[in-house]
Order: sequence, then structure tokens, then C-alpha cells
Amino acid sequence: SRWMERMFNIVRMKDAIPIPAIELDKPRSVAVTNQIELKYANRVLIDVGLCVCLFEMIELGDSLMYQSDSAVHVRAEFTLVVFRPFIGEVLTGKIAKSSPDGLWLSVGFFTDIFVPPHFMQDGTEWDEELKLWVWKSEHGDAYLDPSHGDVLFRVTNSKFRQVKAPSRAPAAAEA
Amino acid sequence: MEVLDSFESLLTNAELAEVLRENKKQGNENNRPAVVVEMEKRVSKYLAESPGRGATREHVEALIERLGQVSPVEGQPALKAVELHNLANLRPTQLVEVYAVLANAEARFGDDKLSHMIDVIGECLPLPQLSK
Repeated sequence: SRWMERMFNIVRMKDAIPIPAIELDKPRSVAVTNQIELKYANRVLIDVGLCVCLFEMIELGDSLMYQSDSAVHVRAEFTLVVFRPFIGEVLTGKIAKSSPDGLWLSVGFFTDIFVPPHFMQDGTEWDEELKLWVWKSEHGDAYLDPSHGDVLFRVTNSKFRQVKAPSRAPAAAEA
Repeated sequence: MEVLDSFESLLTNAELAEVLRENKKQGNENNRPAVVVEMEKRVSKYLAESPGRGATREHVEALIERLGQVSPVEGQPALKAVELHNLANLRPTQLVEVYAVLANAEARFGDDKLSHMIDVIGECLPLPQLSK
């Protein structure tokens, strides 16, 4: 049931995996596993999450070859371990970067965690001299200093951004 | 490429830590790509430092059941699923940590019940083991 949502999920995939000719001396399952992990590990799948590693190879299908392509393409069904913290989850992380725009946090394997100022605790201000955020309370000031250890943060939103690959076409030549 | 099921099943942090330990034990005779070896190393490190590490499915289910018996102040909302998850993951041992995790903790439960929750958490979930 959904109440047991976790930061790590198992995601089932189907894909045609190209095995470069040079890998064909390996047993098929090893070659396919390696190519799957090369393709997916540390990559974000839109609306799914950040892929960690292969979980299970479910099925290896036919191998296909295409004209003038030395790779063998293997149809595979498999599961991946994927990181996708859910809304409301509280995690521990380290401060990676502090700027007047906000705080960037890291959990080690993922660093794209941003806390805008309006989501910080009431009374948090930017200290221009020390270049840190500081929480001012009646009991004293607490600096959000990376060297002070981990912070707790709550996930409020998960954004997947489509990044257009930069064009590799050379700039138009001047006539 | 096709995503057949983006939520096929869940994996507790303890289960994932075990999977990664097994992967590491197998060594790299199969020449796994560096990117995945590095990824697993970093995820393992995160899990090894998590205060809720070592909590199996059974531990968490026992915790859910016992915490479910702690009723809130009349008219106040009970513990939500998300909050149970966060309590299991963060394994608070002090009131101040519970306040960080539960919204309106004082109004909903009061310090006595919150202290009791801490006791229950300590009884149901294993102590985080120091890594070798």
C-alpha cells in the first residue's frame, strides 16, 4: 500500500540494449547488465527518478542486428532501483552551497536539492559578511554552516526539467 | 525505452543496503561500469549514516501498529502515513527531534504522549549500528 512509500523504488523497464561488438565475448546477461547500468546509472528518468543500479534482470529477448551496425541489440525487461523522495519526506543532508538565492543541499549521490528563502524557518536571514544563512531566534543565532553537520529538510516538491541538448551545429558562417 | 511500472514495488532502506552490500561483495570481475560502482558507493554511504538504518519491514510494521495506538488530543489529527515513515527513518530519541518531524506536535499530542512515542520507537526499531 502507498503508505509504505520509500525514497527508493523499484521501477520496471523494457528496452532494447545495444551491446558493442567489443563486449560480445562476455556472457550475454553480463554484457546486457553492464550496458543497462552504463545507460541508466546516475541518470534521471523524467517523472520516475534518479536511477541507482539494476535490481533484477527479468527477461532477455531476441538479439537483433542491423545493417552497418556492429552492435547487437538485445531486448530486455528488467527492474531498476530508483531514488525518488516523496512529498513530505524528511531527509538528512549536507549544505553544499549557500547563496542569497537560497541553500543547495546534497545527500551525497544527489545534489540538486534547493531550499528557497521563503521555505526556511521563520527568522532566517542572509549574512553577507560570512556568506551564510543564519537563523535568528530569541535563544541565539544558529548559522547554517556546512561544518556544523547535517541538516534535516522536508521535500515539498519534485521537479523534472526537460533539458534541451545544446546544438552541436557550428555557428552559421559569415558570408 | 519503456517504463512499464514506475512503482513496481517498494524497497526499504535496510533492504537496499543489503542489496548494495551483496553487489560490493561480488567484486568487479564483471567489469561493471565505473558510474554504477560510484553511484552504489555514495548511496551506501548515505544509508550507512541514516539514523533509521537497520530497520527491517518487520520492525517498521511493529512500529506502525504500536504508534497507531497513541491517540491524539480530542479533535486533533492522528499520525499520518508520511509522519510514520519519517519517524521510522529518522528514529528520534529526543523531543526536539520529534518536533522537527511532526507538524503541530504539541497541540496534537502533548509532551507526555510524544515522550511515549519516543519510547515506542526505541523499543521497536534497532539501534543504528556503527559502521565497521
